[in-house]
Amino acid sequence: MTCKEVPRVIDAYLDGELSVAATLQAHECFAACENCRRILESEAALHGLLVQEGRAEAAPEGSALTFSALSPRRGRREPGLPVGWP
Amino acid sequence: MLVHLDDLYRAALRLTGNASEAEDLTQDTCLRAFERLDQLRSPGAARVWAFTILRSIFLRRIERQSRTAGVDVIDWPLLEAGEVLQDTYEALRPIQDTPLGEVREALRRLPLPYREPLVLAHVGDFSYKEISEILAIPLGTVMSRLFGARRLLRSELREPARRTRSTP
Repeated sequence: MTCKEVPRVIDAYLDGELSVAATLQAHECFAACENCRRILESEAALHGLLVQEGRAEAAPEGSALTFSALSPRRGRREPGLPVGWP
Repeated sequence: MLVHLDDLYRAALRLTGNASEAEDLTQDTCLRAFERLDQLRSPGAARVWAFTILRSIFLRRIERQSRTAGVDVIDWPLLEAGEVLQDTYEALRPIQDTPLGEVREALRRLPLPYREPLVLAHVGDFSYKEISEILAIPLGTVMSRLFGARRLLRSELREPARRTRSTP
C-alpha cells in the first residue's frame, strides 16, 4: 500500500471493513510514515466524534414512545377501550 | 423490534433534524413493522429490516413534502469524482475539539445521499453490506458515499461559513 492509497482506504480501515491482508498493509504504512499516521489520527478523531454524536440521545420517554407505538393509530382505536389499551 | 427503538429514534432524529418528526417517524416505523411482521425473513434480519422500513417511510414523507413545496429534495447533486479528494489534512483545527452540537448541525446539512449512509454507519453501527441492503445501492457506492460524506463533513466543520445548501 502506498501513501497515496491511504486516504482512500482509511475509512474502510477504521470501519473494520478492510481485508486482513489490506489491514496489515495499512498497519505497515502507519508504522513507517508520519504523514499517514497524522491522517489516521485525524480520521480516527472524526470517526470518534461521529460515534459519540450518534449515541448521544435515546428516545425520549422511551417507555411512552414504545407504548404508543404499540397502540392503535390515533383515530383507529376500538370504541370503548381505555386510552392506551393495546 | 423494541430493542432497536432507541437506535431507530436516533437515526430518525438525524435524518429529520427534528425531535417531533423523529418521534412520529419512529412510531410509524414500529407500527409498520408490527403490521408486516410476517414479512420478516429471520429474527437476525430484524434490525436491517426495521431500518429499511424507517428509511422507506422517511423517503415517502420528504417526497410528499417536496411535491407540496414544488422543489426536488431527493435528487441531490453528488460530488464530482475527485472533488472530495482536495482535503489535504493541512491546517486542520483539532477535530476532536469540535462540540457535538456542531457535529450534529453539520450532519444535518449534508445532502441526503451522504447523510443516510453516515447515520446508518455511526448510529446504526451497520456494516457496509447491511448499509448496501438498507439503501439498495451497490457496496462500492456505499464506500464512495461514506468517503464523500466524511470529507464533506470535515469541510463543513472546518468552514461552517461556506454553508450554502439547505436540507430536508
